[in-house]
Amino acid sequence: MAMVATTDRVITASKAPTARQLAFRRAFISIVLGIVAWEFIGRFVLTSNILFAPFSDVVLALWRSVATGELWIHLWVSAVEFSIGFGGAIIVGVAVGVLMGRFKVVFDYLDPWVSILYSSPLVALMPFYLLLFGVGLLSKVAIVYTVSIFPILMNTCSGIRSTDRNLLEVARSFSCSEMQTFTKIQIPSALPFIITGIRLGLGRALTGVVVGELFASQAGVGYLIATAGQSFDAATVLMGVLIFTLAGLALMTVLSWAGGYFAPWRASMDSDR
Amino acid sequence: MQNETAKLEVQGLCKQFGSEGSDAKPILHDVNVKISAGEFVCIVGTSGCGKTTLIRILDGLIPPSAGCVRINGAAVSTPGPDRGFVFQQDSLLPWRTVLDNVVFGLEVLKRPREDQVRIAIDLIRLVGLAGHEKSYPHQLSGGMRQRVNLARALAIDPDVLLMDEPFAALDAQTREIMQRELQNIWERKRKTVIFITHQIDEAIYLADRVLVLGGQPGSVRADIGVPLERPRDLDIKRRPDFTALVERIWRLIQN
Repeated sequence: MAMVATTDRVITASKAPTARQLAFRRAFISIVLGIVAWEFIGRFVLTSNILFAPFSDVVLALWRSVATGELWIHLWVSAVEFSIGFGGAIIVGVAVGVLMGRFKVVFDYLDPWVSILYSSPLVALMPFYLLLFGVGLLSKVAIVYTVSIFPILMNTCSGIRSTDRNLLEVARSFSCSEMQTFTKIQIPSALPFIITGIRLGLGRALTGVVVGELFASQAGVGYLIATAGQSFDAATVLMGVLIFTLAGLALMTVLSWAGGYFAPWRASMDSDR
Repeated sequence: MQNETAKLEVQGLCKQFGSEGSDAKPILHDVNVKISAGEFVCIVGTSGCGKTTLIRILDGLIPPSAGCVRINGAAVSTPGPDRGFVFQQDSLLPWRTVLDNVVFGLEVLKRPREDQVRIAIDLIRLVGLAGHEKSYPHQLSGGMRQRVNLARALAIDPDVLLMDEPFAALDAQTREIMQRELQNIWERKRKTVIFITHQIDEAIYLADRVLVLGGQPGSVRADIGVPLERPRDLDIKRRPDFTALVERIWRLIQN
């Protein structure tokens, strides 16, 4: 006989579309108002172009920089520093985090260091890295790596450690080997945590690029900001900040999309600390 | 009992938590059970009488302090594919679809993917979830999740199906529907089933035999055959012989 579920039905989580549209509309209005205020203050309040620049001047500076091709050179340099440093932090951070989560011994030995270094302002290491690695690419990669690895590592570790006990019991009941428990239960359950860690690391990595380049560099968007600041070019300084902001925003969007893709069951996990 | 070896046999099983001495907490004492192939046995008892401990020992999730568990005559001490465990709740892997949850045990056993899918699709249909293969657990109601849980345990084709209060978290109406369907599924599969519950009517409705667990530490107080014909309709619960049986078991638990 055919078993038909009569009382059970699929529950689809859905927010009221009107509330969402409303929120989007308000966000849009808020941004527009902010830009208008920026323009107004730049035009009529802080008229000195050393102190401030109106939005339109910043856009103009951006357009000029794009037209001359100068921007792409700096953007490329910053992007390379960021990618290598942050990519390395993800790979090493996840690997070490997994080891710490899996093996108590590793955790016990590393945890004090991780706790100390997580809460310390590691960008302060920049002068040291400059001495160690010179003014070129390597010192920036090193600072980006250093500042962004800890949130990734810590979140991966706690993701592995907080695997639901019920699910570990399921693994045992179905006679999973250690390796099967790890790959089929612990890794997927840690995935949302890993993505959260990467998101937290992302902001720090961008800060690392800026600080590294501001401190001493020959190219990069941070370098652009530093030189513009020295020549009292407020529009270009703000343009550099705007570029970093947009880059951060774009990367965050990609990551929250990745979170939704890899962990659709846990859309609520992506709230940042 | 017949002469042939029982499907599942529990001999002199004792369990205590904590070490020997004053802090040792005895949970089960000298539990003896013999279940033949194809039997549906329910174990009832108040909470804290050691029902869950007992079924976890049967699955091999925790070791007994003394005594042994035999399946087809062979002693077992760890989980194995000869037993399928249906958990109380929230034991589905949230990142897997219904289909991928059901194939889990087969995947662990490294069966070919085509076999996994074929078996899983059959079982998903059997438990009444055809069309939901690609849904995720969070999209399903509690009753549907327990259907998946059951299908997952059946997928490895175990000799004995162990069910630990699988319907405890469901509302009364869904629970009754699930009882009826479990009976139907059992009629078709004829698995040996051990089903833990604290609801007496659920136990009588489903079982060939009801074991009453009680005392501190817990042991089998009574072994009561259920002489009701099958298949059983849910209306049977209102019949006088059914209610008399409920009454009798209720008194046994109370004592």
